[in-house]
Amino acid sequence: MRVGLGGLVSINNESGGENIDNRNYGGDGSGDMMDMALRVVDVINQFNPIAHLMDNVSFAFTGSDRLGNKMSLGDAWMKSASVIPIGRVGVFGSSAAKGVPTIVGEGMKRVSMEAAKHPGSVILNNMPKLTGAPHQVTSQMMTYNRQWLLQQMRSGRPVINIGLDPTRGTPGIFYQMEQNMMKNYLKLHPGAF
Amino acid sequence: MIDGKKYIEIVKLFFSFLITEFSFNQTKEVENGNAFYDVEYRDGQRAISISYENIEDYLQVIVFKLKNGQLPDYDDKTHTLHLSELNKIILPKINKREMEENNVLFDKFETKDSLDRKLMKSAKELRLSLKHWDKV
Repeated sequence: MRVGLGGLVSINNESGGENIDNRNYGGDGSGDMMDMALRVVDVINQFNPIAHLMDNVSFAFTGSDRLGNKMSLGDAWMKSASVIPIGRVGVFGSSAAKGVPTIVGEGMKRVSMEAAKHPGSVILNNMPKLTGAPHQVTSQMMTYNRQWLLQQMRSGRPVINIGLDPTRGTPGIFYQMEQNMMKNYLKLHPGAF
Repeated sequence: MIDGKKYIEIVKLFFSFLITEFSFNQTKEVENGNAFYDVEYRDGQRAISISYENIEDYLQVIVFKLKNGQLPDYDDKTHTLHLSELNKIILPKINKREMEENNVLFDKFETKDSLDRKLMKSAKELRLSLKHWDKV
């Protein structure tokens, strides 16, 4: 176990536990106190620019983050954008202007219809075509979605959350993740958006 | 999981009756990576969206009654009509013979997997709803 800058905790454990999107969080998956603590630290590190910087350093040498999770060039780029302020501007271009809302909610059709009411608003409509087995694609998509939302929350622009789709039979897993992220982010940064 | 191009191709095939029989125009094709696909048709009064969330295997067929040529609010239940809601209104009014005649029209199409079957079922139901639109 290493304790680094900013209270960063990391473990390199080949047989480590994985969180819900199949990403190694540094624990051993046993569910004991230390394992649970590492899960919590991992969630916090998703918002930690220092962790992103360390991931990128690790990526430059190994192609993986500091916990051994494979990273694509796109992942590295997104993490860089969260560390280097100019990167944020680069990622979101002119729409990063304050006041232009980001829209999130359950159901992509529904979110895109809401976006049509807010000219210039930002939605996650630029997903890359991801490849691999279905569970790998799901995992990569979840990661991309999480990083995208983190960038949006950090951008300072308002986030309009249109909530659950009452007509939807089964809950959307991506929106569940977004809700959790927004809740945690607001705990760490009250009144951020 | 299905590729976006393939999804759009199947939708265009199974829902071709919208153009040939009901004079709709295809107005939109959306491919958001391999996460979300949407094909939209319009006829001036209505817009029909056939969208699919790939990872979540969530197919939505919605008929929107346009308001001054614009899409209504998604949450406006009087103008945003999900196929499942249309079915509740229309299907009880349709006799077995008409149902069978409708099915025959789709016999020429082949279905290979569960998404194909879902799309085919939706296409059949949508056609019946549009034929009995006066009852909606």
